[in-house]
Amino acid sequence: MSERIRDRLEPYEERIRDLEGRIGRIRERIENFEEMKSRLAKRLRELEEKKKRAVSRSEAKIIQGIIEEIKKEQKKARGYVRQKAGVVRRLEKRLTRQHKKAAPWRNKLNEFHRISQREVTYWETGEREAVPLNVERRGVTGPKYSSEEKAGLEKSASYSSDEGYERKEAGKRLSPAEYIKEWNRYFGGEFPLDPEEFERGVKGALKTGELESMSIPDLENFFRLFYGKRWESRYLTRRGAEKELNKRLRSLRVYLNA
Amino acid sequence: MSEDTPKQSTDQSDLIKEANQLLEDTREANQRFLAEMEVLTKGVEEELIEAGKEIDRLDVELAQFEKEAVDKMDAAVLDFIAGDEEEEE
Repeated sequence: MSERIRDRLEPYEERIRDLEGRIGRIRERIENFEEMKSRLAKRLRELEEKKKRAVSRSEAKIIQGIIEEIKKEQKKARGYVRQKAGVVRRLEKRLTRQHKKAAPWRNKLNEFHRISQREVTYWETGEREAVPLNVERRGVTGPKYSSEEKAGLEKSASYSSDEGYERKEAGKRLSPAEYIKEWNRYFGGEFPLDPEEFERGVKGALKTGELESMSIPDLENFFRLFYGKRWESRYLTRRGAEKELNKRLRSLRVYLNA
Repeated sequence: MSEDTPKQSTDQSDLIKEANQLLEDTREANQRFLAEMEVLTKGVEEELIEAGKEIDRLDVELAQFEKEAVDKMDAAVLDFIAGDEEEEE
């Protein structure tokens, strides 16, 4: 089922990416036109300077007339830029809507991929020996302490609770390759990555030959560092891309029980 | 400024020529920009309409396919349960 969705969705996603590129080119064209406008405005300023040195009044008058015409054209150009920038914004909004329309199928694809990667354990068939439950009542008893002893115990208890806190802070640890394998298990359908490549990247960044397991937040930071740009290129806005990436990294953290 | 010498006259025409050239360049830049934008935006608009139709078609097709797949899975589960019950009998 996921293959069918992927086969049908991929050409559409390609079409959306192509449209993103084309809208980007329109935006570039507007920027180029802005530059062109600046160059023409500079030439106009120079012309106005030269006009002051005009040898006859009639010449100055003719040039002034032409300058007025140029200014009218420049005003029109500013209007065109505003209008076309509005058109681009509208196109981008429409494209975002199209992109969102495919989101449910994209999510299903991820979900199918996640389920298909999950290890399945089948129950043993046949009779299972019933294990009787231990329902015997257990008494809760303990030694009696003096007030000094109690104070000492509280102190040691707070110490151990600190230790517990530190343990919690440390959280689950994985090697970079293991982390990417987990990513692929859940989101590989949408954004497949090479675990070895990530491991090499992290080793290179840390300038270390041997790499021990790392905390999930550190791995997430490296993930953003290495794949942030590639991930962003799939979205229209950086904010949207970041939001979607955060959502997935958070989910992965939950899946990993980290 | 009243009397123009031949040299000054040449300078004058040069300046007017330059002004006219600038006006022409400005007009041409505007027209070219409008023409190019017309082509580019029209192409994207048409493509967006087509993409909209495609995702609507895809939505219907995949929903139908999903329904069929779920029905098949349900049928397989029901068959499996029915088989189990028969065996127990």
